[in-house]
Amino acid sequence: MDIDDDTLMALADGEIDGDEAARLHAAIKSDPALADRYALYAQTADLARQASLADPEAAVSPDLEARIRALAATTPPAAGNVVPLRRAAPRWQPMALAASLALVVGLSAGMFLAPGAPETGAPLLSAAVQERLNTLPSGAGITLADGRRMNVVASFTDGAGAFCREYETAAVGGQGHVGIACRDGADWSLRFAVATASQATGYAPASSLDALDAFYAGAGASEPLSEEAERAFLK
Amino acid sequence: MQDSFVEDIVALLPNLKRFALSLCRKPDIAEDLVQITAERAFRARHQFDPATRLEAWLFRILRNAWIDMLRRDRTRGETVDIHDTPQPDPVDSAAQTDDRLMLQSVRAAMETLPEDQRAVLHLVCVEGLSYAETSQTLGIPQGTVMSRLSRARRALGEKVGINGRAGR
Repeated sequence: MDIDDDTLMALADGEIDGDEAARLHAAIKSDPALADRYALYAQTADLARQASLADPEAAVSPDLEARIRALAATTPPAAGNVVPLRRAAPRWQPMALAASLALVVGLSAGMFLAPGAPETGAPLLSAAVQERLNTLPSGAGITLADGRRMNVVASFTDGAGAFCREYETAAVGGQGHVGIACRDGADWSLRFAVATASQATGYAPASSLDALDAFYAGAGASEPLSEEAERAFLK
Repeated sequence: MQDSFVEDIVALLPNLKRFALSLCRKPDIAEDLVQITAERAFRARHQFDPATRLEAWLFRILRNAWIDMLRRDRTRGETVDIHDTPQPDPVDSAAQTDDRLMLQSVRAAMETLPEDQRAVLHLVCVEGLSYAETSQTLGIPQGTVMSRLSRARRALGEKVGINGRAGR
């Protein structure tokens, strides 16, 4: 019987059961070469499990458990105030935001941040910004002609395969924003925007960017693209 | 009154911490990740589908939290170096009699795997998730789960001296 490695691995991982598993086990028993190939999968699984379970660093301290219980008591369930995306995964549901954030989702280029964002002018996705989105590698920053600072945070592809970028802009001493824009043909459209802390010096605290996390969870976003993968998308 | 959702999550803290460690390999960051995961889970508890496995849902949240952390660190100009672990000493399986040392070297070998392989290996082999659950947790196709898992197993086997031909 010709049995491929994927089948042997699936058998070792409990993905195959019933008659087929019995048949495979019988074949393995009668063929030492097959048994060796199977042993690779069975033994590595076993070792990985034992090694991980025996890791002293994995112990949960009573302190961590206490902190988690305290969180459970103080964390309110989400109230929805995020507008779902057009192409959001069907199971995505709105998540809570810190009250200080102004959030706009799914608007097109040139939009302004609505209630709570005092900024006027300087749209988050101006032509100058779009141009940089096409060329700047992630991690790079520049100062735009209007004096705003722009940093590109990361690139990824959305569920539909479009090239998307997370970036931030900040006026000196003024309001900052984090945006996610995706490229469609030659144009960029803004999929997500959130106003962040008003100090131009600091990135918003991670806790105030929960909405961004919710966006990523719902948008079918890929892992951040590697530099090499990203280069293929840049112009 | 005891909240069973909270109790279930507390019961899974060791699993969460192990998965966090397998991703970030630093105990303090792992604890942060566990805490962020729990906080998000409490807030999003209405999104949990009780017909699915709670650990798979939590692993997914944790994984997303880790990706966020990497994104943020990149912005700050620091990088979390995921390749800074020294190569493990070669393991002499025949002479290796001390189980503890053996497992230590297996851990060291696992840490040298690329992160995408490590995550799949961990979810399937350590946490016992099915290929389908792993695929959903990581947001990758099942075929990708299998190819990463297979590469991880071969690499691990090589490092600890199981080559799939000689057997033991």
